Amino acid sequence: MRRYENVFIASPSLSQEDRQPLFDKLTKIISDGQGLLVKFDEWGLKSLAYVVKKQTRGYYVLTDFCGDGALVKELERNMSLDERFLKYMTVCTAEEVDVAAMQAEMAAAREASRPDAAPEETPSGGEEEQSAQTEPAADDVKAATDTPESGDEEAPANGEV
Amino acid sequence: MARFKRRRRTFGRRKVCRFCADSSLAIDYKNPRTLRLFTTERGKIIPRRISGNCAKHQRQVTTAIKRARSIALMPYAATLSHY
Repeated sequence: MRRYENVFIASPSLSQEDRQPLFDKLTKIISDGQGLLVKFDEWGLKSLAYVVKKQTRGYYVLTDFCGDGALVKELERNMSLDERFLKYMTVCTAEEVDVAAMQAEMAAAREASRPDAAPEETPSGGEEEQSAQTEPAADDVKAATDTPESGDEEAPANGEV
Repeated sequence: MARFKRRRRTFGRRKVCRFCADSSLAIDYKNPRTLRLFTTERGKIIPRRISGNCAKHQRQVTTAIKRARSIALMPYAATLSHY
């Protein structure tokens, strides 16, 4: 089985009550296709970088799941048919995944987070670590670019504009 | 026209790949804030000879930017008034 990441953008005009059945439908498709949903992360309403279906904002949701090609096909088929999805993208993050081990890990994480009121939530090992690291790193990069690069960048930028 | 002559200057300092120097830095299409450093304000990808990335990381940055564009996190082409 493979591990996939799917980001989709739902229409911004949907209310919370309208969104819920939509999300339930997706989780049902994943479970019906013998997939394992690892993470369902709602990023919320964000502004889009460009206009999509005449919308400038969209409700972003990231899903992380294990499954096979048929499941992805089915999921994308449903998204392309449904008007409420503005855009979607599925990316394969791991070619080979041990589903049983993953399930055990998720169960353990759930157990750990429940009794002591979730001090530290790390349900899916590597994924979480990665995203945690990017945050402070982003600031470092910004600081680094300001100084050495600003001078070099000017020449080509002037040329193309 | 003196400006054109100056463009062929040599660099005083060798640029180092930022991702090789700091291994904790992740390249991720979900983080457009980092990726934005590798695009011009027009939204074009900055070439390796200017950003100083190594080949491996430039490849990763490129795919990440293209993915981010695909889900509207980053623009394909931005007007300058956006920024």
